[in-house]
Amino acid sequence: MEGIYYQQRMGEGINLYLIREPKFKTVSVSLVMYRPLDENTTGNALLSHILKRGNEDLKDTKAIERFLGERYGASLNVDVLKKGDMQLIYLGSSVISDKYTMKGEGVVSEILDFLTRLVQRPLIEEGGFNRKYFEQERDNLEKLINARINDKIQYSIDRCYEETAKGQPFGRYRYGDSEELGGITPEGLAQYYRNVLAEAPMDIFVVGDVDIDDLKGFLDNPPFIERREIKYLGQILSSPQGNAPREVVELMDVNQGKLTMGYTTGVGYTHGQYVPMLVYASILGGGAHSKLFNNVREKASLAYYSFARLEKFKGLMVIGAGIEIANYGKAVGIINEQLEQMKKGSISDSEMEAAKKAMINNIHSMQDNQLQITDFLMNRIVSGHTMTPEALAEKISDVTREDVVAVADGIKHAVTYFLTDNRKAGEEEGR
Amino acid sequence: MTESVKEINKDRVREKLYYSKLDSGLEVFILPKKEYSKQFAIFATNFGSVDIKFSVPGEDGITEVPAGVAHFLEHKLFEEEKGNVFDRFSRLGASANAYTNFTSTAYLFSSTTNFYECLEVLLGFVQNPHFTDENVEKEKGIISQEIRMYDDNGEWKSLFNMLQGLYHRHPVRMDIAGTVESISVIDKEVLYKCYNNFYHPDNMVLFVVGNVGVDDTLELVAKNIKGNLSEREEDIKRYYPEEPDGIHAERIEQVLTVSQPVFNLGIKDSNVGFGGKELLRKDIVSSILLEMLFGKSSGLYQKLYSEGLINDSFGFDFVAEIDYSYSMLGGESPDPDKLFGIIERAMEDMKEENLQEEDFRLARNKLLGRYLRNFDRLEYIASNFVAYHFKDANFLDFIELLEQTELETVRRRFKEHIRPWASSLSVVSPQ
Repeated sequence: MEGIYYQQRMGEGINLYLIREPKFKTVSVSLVMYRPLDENTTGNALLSHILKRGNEDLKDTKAIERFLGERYGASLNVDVLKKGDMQLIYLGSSVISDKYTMKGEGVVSEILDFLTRLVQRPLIEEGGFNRKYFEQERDNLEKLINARINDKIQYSIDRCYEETAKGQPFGRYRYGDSEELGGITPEGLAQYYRNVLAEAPMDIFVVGDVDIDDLKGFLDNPPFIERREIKYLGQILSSPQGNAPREVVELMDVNQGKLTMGYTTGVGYTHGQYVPMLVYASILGGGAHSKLFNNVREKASLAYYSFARLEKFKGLMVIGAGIEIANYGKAVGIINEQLEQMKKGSISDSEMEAAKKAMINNIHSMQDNQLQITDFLMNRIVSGHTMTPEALAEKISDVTREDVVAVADGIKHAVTYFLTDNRKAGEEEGR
Repeated sequence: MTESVKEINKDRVREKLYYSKLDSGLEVFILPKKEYSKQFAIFATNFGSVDIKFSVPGEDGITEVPAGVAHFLEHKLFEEEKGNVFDRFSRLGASANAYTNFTSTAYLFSSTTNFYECLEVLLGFVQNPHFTDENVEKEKGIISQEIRMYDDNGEWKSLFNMLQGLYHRHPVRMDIAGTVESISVIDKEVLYKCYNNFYHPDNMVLFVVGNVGVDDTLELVAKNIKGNLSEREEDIKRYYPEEPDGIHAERIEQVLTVSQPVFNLGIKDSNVGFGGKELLRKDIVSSILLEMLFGKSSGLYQKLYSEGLINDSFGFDFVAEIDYSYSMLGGESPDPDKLFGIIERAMEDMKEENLQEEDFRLARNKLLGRYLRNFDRLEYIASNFVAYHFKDANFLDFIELLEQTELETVRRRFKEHIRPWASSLSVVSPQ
């Protein structure tokens, strides 16, 4: 991705970005609407699920599947994403490039049109969303929210972030809260959706072997969406929580304990120390080259996985490890020791180099993946940073040990979250 | 170009594949994709978790090893006399990984610079085992945590329980990593025994894809594959217990911390014992069949979804190995038994005439779209190519075979494979 090949304003606060990459055989198309995380978060999640059930033109799943099947089995993915304080309603499709169709027919333009119309022409009857779809998707969403405990690793990361940002919008779960579902009605949601359509910033991303002429069908005749004043959104950095780190213990019937520690870094995307922060996290826990991997796993044999990860919108970091419950004290000790080493600048040349090279490799690799390209662009829009991947790679190679040590000082431990076994809770050691 | 290289044109995917076989028996495939940033190499052995009873060419008798050896060996190969292999890849800015599945073990890296150096490291470490009593013992802690991690994973447990329901004796019913008990008896002698037998070049394949040169790659490979081994005259014999046609258990249930029941439904396939193009064809025909029966546009899917018995987590797959094969459905459901009942009845009532031309065409389109979509991911091409190679088939023949498939073949396959009495249900339910 040397840059954006083409950008067009399609309406008030609606932009289309085309990234032309001839190497791909398929084209990835995404449409997003940006919302704040707030009391409507559960509603937004429900909306995304209802929108995919049908619109005025294609009224049910069967019709949609037929439409997609005729277009060489294009896919349809609808979801909500959480990026910092924002929630994104996301509709995406992947379709084979026009250059691979049997008769050279243009399917990409049709898929763009299809996604836009799912958003623009929802199935609203007598002032409310189709009741059947509403009820089914409400029940599905309830189950989806409850299902978050199924993936214990992700659950413990999410819970740790939530505890770190307690009471803030970012503390909300991506799919909302099942207790709020009862208060949502087909009519209320339809009313709310009209506002979303009118005021939410919207972007369309197209990545693949596409010329602007291929999109002519869509661009010449774009669906009309009536817009009001657009509500642009920002991000707020999490601030350190002054007092001593809190311990949160959650009990479940689990075989392995999930130790997750949350920190504020004070450094977000647009911060002057953003790039050194990335390098810091990579040295600490960004893969097989990192201190956590080598000390928690390779040397102490305490865990199969151990990592550090940044939440770059909010200036947060989590460290995670799956451990034998009795090893809690030992694992916390080794993790703290690694943080201390970082602070003291006891970072070898090879650790420094390996971390930087791994990151640069990731940045270059990203350009071979359409969804990662889209995500990079979305993050730029959401965070307000303007770096190209190439510029980011260059800055990473310039980072020095002193730069890394300088960010280490700002890292404050906020929460230790431990998901542990119900059955063994009484007999825990090392705490 | 070296004389021994064969160029294979794959017109339908517009790719060229290069092939060479060394005296040691190693087969090398190169798929250049010059427009990509990445290079991806995978060095794999035809040795997976099911290979626990086998012959060693040139020796008498049958060797039996504990469950989990292939996976254990994978972990240990990363260790070297001085340090570990990850560090060397890290210094080169590449990321390395490995995986073990039922039938193979693969070592891989992804790079954007220093490709030839990385390839040298890959070939070097896989050919140079370094097992000691001490480092074997140390790994048991890490692998135990890996096993424990999966013990908490409802989807994983449900899948393996289903395999136990389908199979009476075949080792596919055992966990890939073995159990904490089975790995406790693994020592360096067992590892060397398996290594010497299965990591002979004549039992391995190298697949390289991405931004690479064909000649340079082959030259480097020839130099870095040990010259003292030549292709063995005999093949390794693998012994699998005789497996009855029917299933082992109709239903298996386990309790874990999940929000709602997770299920897998398997249908055992008895048409096994062959590889090659015929196997790839069976895979394609069966996948079309499953898409027609259970895909989103099918009547059955619509019914199950609207009754709330399945949600977006629902999926299905056909697994085609030489010695075992099955169809599988899975997801979350509030009532897997009711779901199973409906599917069983549908299987009984369904006639081959119900499989219609129009649905067949859509399903075939879908498979084409999915295939091309995955063809944009180098990792996917590589791992699938290797998997099919060990089944004597070429993954790049997929589109050609897909286009040759006719409805009649799918109907015949329906009669042969969709047998309610050969199906088994696995449920992981909440407390």
